[in-house]
Amino acid sequence: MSFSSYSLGVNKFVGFKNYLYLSSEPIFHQVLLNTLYLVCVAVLIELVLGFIVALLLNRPFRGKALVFWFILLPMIVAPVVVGLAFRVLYDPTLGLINYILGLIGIAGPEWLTTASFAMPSIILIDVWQWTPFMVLLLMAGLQYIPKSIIEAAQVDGASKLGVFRYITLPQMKNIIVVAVIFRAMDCFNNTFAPIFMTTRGGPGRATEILPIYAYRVGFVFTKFGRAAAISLMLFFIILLFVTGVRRVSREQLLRV
Amino acid sequence: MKTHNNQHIVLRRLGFVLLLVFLCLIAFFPILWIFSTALKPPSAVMCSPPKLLFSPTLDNFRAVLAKPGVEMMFFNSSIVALLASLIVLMLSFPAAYSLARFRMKRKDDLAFMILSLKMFPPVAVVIPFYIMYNKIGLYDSQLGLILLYVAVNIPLAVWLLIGFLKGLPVALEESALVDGANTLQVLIRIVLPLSATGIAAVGILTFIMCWNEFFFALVLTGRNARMLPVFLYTFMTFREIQWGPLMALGTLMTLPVVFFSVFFRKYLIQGITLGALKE
Repeated sequence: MSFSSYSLGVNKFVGFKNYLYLSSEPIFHQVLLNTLYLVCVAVLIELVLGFIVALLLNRPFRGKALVFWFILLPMIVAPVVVGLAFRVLYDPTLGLINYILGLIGIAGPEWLTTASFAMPSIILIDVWQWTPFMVLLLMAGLQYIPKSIIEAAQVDGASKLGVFRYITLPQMKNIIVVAVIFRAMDCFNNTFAPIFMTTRGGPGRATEILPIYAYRVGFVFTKFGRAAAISLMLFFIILLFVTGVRRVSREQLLRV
Repeated sequence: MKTHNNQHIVLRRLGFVLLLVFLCLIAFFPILWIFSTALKPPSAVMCSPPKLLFSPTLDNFRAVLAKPGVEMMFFNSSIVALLASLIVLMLSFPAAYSLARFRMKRKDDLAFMILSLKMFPPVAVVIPFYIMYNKIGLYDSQLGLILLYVAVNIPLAVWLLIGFLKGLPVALEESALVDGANTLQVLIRIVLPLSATGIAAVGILTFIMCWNEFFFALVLTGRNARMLPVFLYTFMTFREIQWGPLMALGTLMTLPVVFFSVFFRKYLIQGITLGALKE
């Protein structure tokens, strides 16, 4: 379909025309950069934050199950509802976030309506909702590091940082790769709902990412062929990303 | 010296607890806000400064429940999410087992092939499916959505279950095999009961994903198979957004899953954390 000019029942083969069009379309370039910006920053923050929280929770204390349950809650709420809720919370005059910032003397920015703050606001929503996913997977990984290795290292006088750098991190490599792959795929594809419910890609095109762009081209302007080309580009980017991560980690994830 | 040390420990404890409370608050605050907005009268929803004290009302919930077809949408969402997660479990459990236990060539590639189901952007998938479903009569049907949700949710289920199964001891299965059981018997009689927590956890996650899914439901359903997340749209018109009913519906959508997760908390946490995705 991406090789045709498919629009409302009229189907004509046009070869690579859709792709050629995209390669010279500045909007496409900007949307592509937006997408990469969103995914890279969001997933990186989620990984670091998730790792810190997982390490924090990885010790025995009373009420651990309850704390864990609280922290997992954001994952449970529908992304659509989350998007809508944050839209009100972010509101510059009526929203709670700027109100709280105002109480401690900070004049909050216009979160979703200024170009420079819109994408970070979206990233913040994503981080709030999906860091729990990272915590979940990383917690799982941490529990599988044999205690004996860590104890042995401590007996040999390794510092906390040393244990983390030379034992925890290498042992966690696999699970980090898996978590990053899953989160990135989701971030590429499914940030649609929160953006659709908050900024719809705006202001201007500040938060327009590939799925939103493809949706607009396909369902609003009914250029289905071109929309298919855009979404296939997205697929190849994801494929490239996943194989890239796989190469870099050079790990057989399922080795027997 | 000793008291100084004790003080130090107490301070660190306190810091730890405060940090945890802070984390929980951040995680819970927007959800609490959704619930509270659902209980607010229209005058208290949008006002500055935000009202923390208000006389709660159930009007918003009444407004939602008075809409025609709500029950049907709750039914649609439940049945689709439930059936899809059951099918996902039935398909991904054997797949995960074989990937976790059997020796085969290019196993990693196979696992990544399964993963590629999730790499396809929904926007790319949805147009061909829209056209195809219209031709074969699956447009606006529960079955159509179920099929898509199954395909989309299998990768995470398989990968989580592989991790879980790898964490189980092999010895039991081996002794059963020595005693003359075949693979299927081992799978059903031994592995299945042992993996109950893992299966429950993955089942819940899949259910949540289907229950909350928006995009496919938006494009591929019309009047008959309307799902809850799309129903939200009813309260967003060009002229105004009715925040109260919107958040009431959000609450109604979230509460069942929250209760669910309270009940199955132990499974959710144990099931996933036992299943560490590593050797």
